[in-house]
Amino acid sequence: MRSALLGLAIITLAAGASAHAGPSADLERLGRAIAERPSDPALRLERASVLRRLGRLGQAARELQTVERLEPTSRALYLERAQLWRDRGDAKRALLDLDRYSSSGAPSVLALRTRAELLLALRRPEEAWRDYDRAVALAPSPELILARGQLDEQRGNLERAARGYLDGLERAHGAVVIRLALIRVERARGQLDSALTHASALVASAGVRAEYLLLRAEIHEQAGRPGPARADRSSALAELDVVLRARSTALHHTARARALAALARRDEALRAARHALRLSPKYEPARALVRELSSPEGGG
Amino acid sequence: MKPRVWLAATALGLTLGSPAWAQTLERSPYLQQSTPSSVILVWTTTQASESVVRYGSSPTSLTQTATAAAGTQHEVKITGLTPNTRYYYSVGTSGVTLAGGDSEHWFETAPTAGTTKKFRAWVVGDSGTGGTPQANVQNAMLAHVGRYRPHLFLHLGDMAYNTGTTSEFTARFFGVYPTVLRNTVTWPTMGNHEGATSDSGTQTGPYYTAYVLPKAGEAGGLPSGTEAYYSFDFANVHFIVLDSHDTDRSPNGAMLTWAKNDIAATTQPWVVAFWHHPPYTKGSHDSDTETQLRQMRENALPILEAGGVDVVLAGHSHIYERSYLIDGAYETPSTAAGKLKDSGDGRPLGSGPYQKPATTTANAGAVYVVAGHGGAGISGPANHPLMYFSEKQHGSCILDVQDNRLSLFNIRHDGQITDRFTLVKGNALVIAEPDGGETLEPGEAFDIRWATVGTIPQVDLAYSANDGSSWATIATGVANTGQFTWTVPNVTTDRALVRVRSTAQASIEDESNAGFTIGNVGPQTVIPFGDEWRYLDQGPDPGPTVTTAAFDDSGWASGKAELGYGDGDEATVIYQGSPNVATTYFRKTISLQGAIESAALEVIHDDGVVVFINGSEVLSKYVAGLEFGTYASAASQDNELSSTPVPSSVFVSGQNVVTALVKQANATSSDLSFDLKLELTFEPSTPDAGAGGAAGSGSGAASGSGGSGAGSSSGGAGNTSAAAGAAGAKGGSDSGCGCRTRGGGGESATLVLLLTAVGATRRRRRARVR
Repeated sequence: MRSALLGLAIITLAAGASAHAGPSADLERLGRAIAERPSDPALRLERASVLRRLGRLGQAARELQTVERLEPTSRALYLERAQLWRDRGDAKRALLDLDRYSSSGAPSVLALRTRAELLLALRRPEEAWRDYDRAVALAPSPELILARGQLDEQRGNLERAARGYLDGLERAHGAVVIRLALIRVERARGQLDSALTHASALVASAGVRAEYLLLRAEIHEQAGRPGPARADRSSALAELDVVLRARSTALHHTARARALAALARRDEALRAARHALRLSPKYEPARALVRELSSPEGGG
Repeated sequence: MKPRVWLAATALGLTLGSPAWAQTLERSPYLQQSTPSSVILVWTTTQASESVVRYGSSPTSLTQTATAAAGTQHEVKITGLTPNTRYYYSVGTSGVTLAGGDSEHWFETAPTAGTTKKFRAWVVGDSGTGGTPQANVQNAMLAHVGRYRPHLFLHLGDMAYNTGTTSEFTARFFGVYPTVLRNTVTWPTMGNHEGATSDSGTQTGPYYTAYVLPKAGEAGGLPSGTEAYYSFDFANVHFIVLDSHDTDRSPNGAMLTWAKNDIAATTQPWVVAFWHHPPYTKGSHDSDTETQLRQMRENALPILEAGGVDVVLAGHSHIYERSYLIDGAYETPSTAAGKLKDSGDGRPLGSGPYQKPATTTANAGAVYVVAGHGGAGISGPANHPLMYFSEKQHGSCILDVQDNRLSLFNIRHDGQITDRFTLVKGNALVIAEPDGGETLEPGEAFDIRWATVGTIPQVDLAYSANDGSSWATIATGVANTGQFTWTVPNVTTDRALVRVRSTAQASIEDESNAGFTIGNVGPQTVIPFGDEWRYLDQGPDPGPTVTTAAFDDSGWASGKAELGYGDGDEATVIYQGSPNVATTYFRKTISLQGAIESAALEVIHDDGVVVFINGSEVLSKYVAGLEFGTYASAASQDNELSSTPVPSSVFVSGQNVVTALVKQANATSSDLSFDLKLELTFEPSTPDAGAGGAAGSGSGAASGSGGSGAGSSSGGAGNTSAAAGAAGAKGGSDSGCGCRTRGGGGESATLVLLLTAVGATRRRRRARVR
């Protein structure tokens, strides 16, 4: 996994290799300020951060060495240096600095998130989960809630994933991406009534409901209720036929193709998917659906 | 609950005992999260205090109250409002008004989603330096729009240099734009400079403290669960706001997954997206080399364009750049080959508006605007191949939306309009001039000019002198040449509009995006300082009816102001008793015709004064009681000047009486002074019967915007005029204005456009591109 981290570092380096006026202006500003206050560790930390984000990791490291001399036990130093180690592909040193950071004061979401990502890269998922969990407790952002839940899903701990998503849904104001994740988990663990409830909530919240009607239909079908499934798909198709008169988008044509495929109208589905792809050649879901429907066993 | 609330509550415990006057406004009120039925008012104070908003349908009738938790940051949500309605407000505590309660403090609720109300948004990026360019940009915008202020303030990030601290926000954003912020709802996205101190993952820091943004789909769209990215509806536009700085930009990350769901779920005809890092730029940043810019282009655009996005706004790069109508340009480096849906200039009087199908259609093209020129230093090569127009000058943009027409123009810091494009869906008429801000003279011949998309053989023309409340016919059934020479009627208004409408299909129409002026509409001084007044300076007590219009003052003396004694500057010296007469009375009758729109009164007084108009009290200073023998409550300064707006409701058509009671401070005060000025702004006057236009000039081909006769779909004959040329034409050139256009015309196209516009328009306040 160290190689993966190194790869990340190389990508970062490449992206930042070409200096440009924006960050350069920051560096100029910081350079002037540091010339006036050369012993200000905050300024040097900021410059190290800018240099790191520009991929100038060697310069960033030298700046941090200066900070270390000025303020060797600075928590901010630990955190910035951890990110530098991470960008250099040295997860172990990064973790050491993050541990120093964590043990010397209040936790921060950035530190916890960074450490969780490193721990995951080192195949220490339970520790990563704990850091994500602590980060969610501090700041229930959709990104963190999803990261924690996906870790549970990957490890087969669906019950905890569902609990986390449900809690996250409440704390993140009903974020649609969390509700979709929760539905996925509830389906995976056979809690279909719960999945239906949340799919219905999505149906109720959207101006165009077709995507969520199709999702609910899948749940009905999974629950062995073909009648409601068909009804939802028919409703989705009817809505899309109306919507497409005003909104001929690849998203809606793709949804229509899925509805047709689910209603066993494969030829029409393929035509709809191809139409979506013609409209938006770079729209990956349309491409995937065309591929699926074009295969001998695909669709329906 | 955000940290600020906890801090505020802590502080409150220490300061609840503070006297009300100790509260000082730190950030003037600003508007957040406007919906058709609600709005959030935010302001900050230096000390914790109550959070009270009073609001109502007029500044003198703030009959309703909304409150929230006390603190130093006050966030009061008002609910139960009527859509598309103006409300006046004040903010403060239960005992003290800190701001508002006047005609300047109002908000308007959003129109119901899906409705086609005409509206405008101010688009600003990278402004927050606190320097002169930032002020100039705002001033240029305000001067251009006049009374047609934007409904929305879309800030594209970098609003508080250098690191988005609380004090930088206060000084360089809230301190710079208070007059805009009190009426216009702010919808921001975070820039990298705010990102230095604010964190999207935790939604903490000064940026997230300052703004109250929707997380649960409160203003339309699907719940994002975060203030870092969100959406909202306004009229018939769905706005999608992304965080390009501090949130995962991967295609299957939470933000873009939400965006895909959100754009698929909207039913709005227009979709406008904005974030900080531009997908296309060659300004102070380079979209071919920088990570965030590339990722937004490569990951976000395929989703948004597949969902039918129409316009994408961004900042970060300190420049103004505006693309052609483009599609599918996701590769790195960006090239124009095969990506231009329309290689024209998009200008109504150039090669014509950009066209999209009447229905929202995936990948039918979008226009990309970089508006990072709001105040920070400008730089860059300005040579992006997808940009039709680039300019290395400070400025900002106005986005206008009317039904199936969307326009954006660039207002440079010096007031010049240097770029404009219009995007239409389906058949349309687009007025190019007068389009707002012009000043015309009654009786002059003015060429109304418009562009046509579709086949529209004949049009009807009308004008309004009252912002569209009523319309008067200019001409009907005239050949659609794209131009009509109009004899400007003999009216006085600063809210004139022109409308062009298809004779055969009335739903195809357009009106000026904003009002223009006819005649001299400035405030009229109906009582100047130094005017003549009747006065009663030695009693007897005239009784309480003295303030009414019906009171008979015919037996009083009269003289020119300033009236008084003891200072030596009086035009008319009046009686000084010993002891002093407590109250001296002044009255003046004026005759008014026409409805009053606004009024302002100034009074010079020593000591106390109370002023009535037709019996209604409009100003009072240092007055403890109206009785004849009651002295002032306090001494004034010598010749103290007090002023107030006056509600127009106090005036009547015909005779109006102004009465002032001037109170001595005490029995021995040595001086007394009185003078008064009253300024009125009248509602637009009634149009002349039969006023209207001359015959059509038939010179549409020269305007480059007619074309119905040829049945063309875009600009028709206009394509042969000053318009841009072939698709993807090479080069472009820098012109003397510091700007660069492409599309074959290059410098000459720009110049011709400017000259055409200037030559065809009389009394234009400033040059502009149509």
